[in-house]
Amino acid sequence: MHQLPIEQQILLVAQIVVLVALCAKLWWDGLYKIYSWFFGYLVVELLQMLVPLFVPLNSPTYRDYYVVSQALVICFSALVILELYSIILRGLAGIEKVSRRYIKVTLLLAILVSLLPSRLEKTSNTLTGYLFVFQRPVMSSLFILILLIAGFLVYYPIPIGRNVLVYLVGFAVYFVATGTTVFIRNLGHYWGRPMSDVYMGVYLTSLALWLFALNRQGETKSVVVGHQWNPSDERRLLAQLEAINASLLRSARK
Amino acid sequence: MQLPLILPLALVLVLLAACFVGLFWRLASRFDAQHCTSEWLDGFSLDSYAPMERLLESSDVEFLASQAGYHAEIAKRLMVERRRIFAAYLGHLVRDFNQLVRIGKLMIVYSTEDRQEFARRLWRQQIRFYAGVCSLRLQLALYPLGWTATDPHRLVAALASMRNQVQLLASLSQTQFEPV
Repeated sequence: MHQLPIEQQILLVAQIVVLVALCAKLWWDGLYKIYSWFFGYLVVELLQMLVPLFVPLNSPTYRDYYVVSQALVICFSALVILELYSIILRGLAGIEKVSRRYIKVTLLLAILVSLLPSRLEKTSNTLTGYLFVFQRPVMSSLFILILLIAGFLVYYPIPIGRNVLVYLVGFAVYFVATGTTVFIRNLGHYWGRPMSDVYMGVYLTSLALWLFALNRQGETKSVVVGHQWNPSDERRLLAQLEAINASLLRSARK
Repeated sequence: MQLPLILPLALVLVLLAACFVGLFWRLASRFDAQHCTSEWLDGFSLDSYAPMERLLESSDVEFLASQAGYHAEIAKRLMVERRRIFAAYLGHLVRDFNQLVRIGKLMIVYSTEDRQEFARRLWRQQIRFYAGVCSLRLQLALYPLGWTATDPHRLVAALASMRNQVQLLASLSQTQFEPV
């Protein structure tokens, strides 16, 4: 820890505090049961952040630990987005096949687009070099996937809660920051300190957003965000749809 | 970092940020389902678009030209006014089409059965319709330059088709809806 510049020490401590608070909040609100992969991701991130407190940053032990834990973080990140998509579409029988087909196509598209800049990147023959070359396309493709999922949600009036929006915004910001910093590093520009400062600051912002905006009330689904959805609204909408049905059938018989 | 790298990277980031902001703005302000009502549907009629089909015909101008006291300025003013009215009709047509699309999407999302085929047809109809609208708006813009081949029939037919497809969805299962 003492090898980190002072501003990064402050940011690291702030991240740890916010992460612990966020994990506690998800546990307290019972949201860890709904977003289990997200909870797992936060725990892995927390464990990764605690290591610099005890292990010198330039030691082989820290390097190996970082590579393993970062690979886990990357896997959890992908699982988190897939978990979010399945939560959003749960119970929507009407668009089941459409949404399954959509996720397959967008996943492929996201991977292909994110692989395009790979030719520009230089691979250093180190463990961390290989990790960064692997990490950048994954983070970029997850960001593109989030954009495409948001596009699907804009097209279909799928009821979503505030937590889903907060989730998506936080991860979009995190993925684009990670992807960009790793990409610049992979191009051979080792702006270690400024890039780390920016990256840690952006990540702290995402964590803070989740801490303050994710809560039990945010699980209430709404067709229009900001409009509090309750069972009577739901009954009224279903009655509207039934009335529309009846009107269409009447005019078809004319 | 070299300048040839900074500019493309900055441009890509700005574009991604614009997409990101635009999408989440749209997500945060989606249409209010309460405006999709059966009352609107009861009042909806394709007959209201019948005048579109003859608004830009040349027969009225030819009739005027045969009258005493005619001069070219009269025809010009008439066609300017007619084009303005036609554009207003087109705006209403697009609005009604979009409303039907919203109803169709709501029915798909809340349906108890998978509606993949209907969703696909809805998507294709939208693409065809919006392409037709773009074409018609271009023709309208070129009208003063002598381009007179405006044909609103396709768009009115597309609106009729959308209405029929939403009716088909309604009749397919006496579509049952369930809460999400």
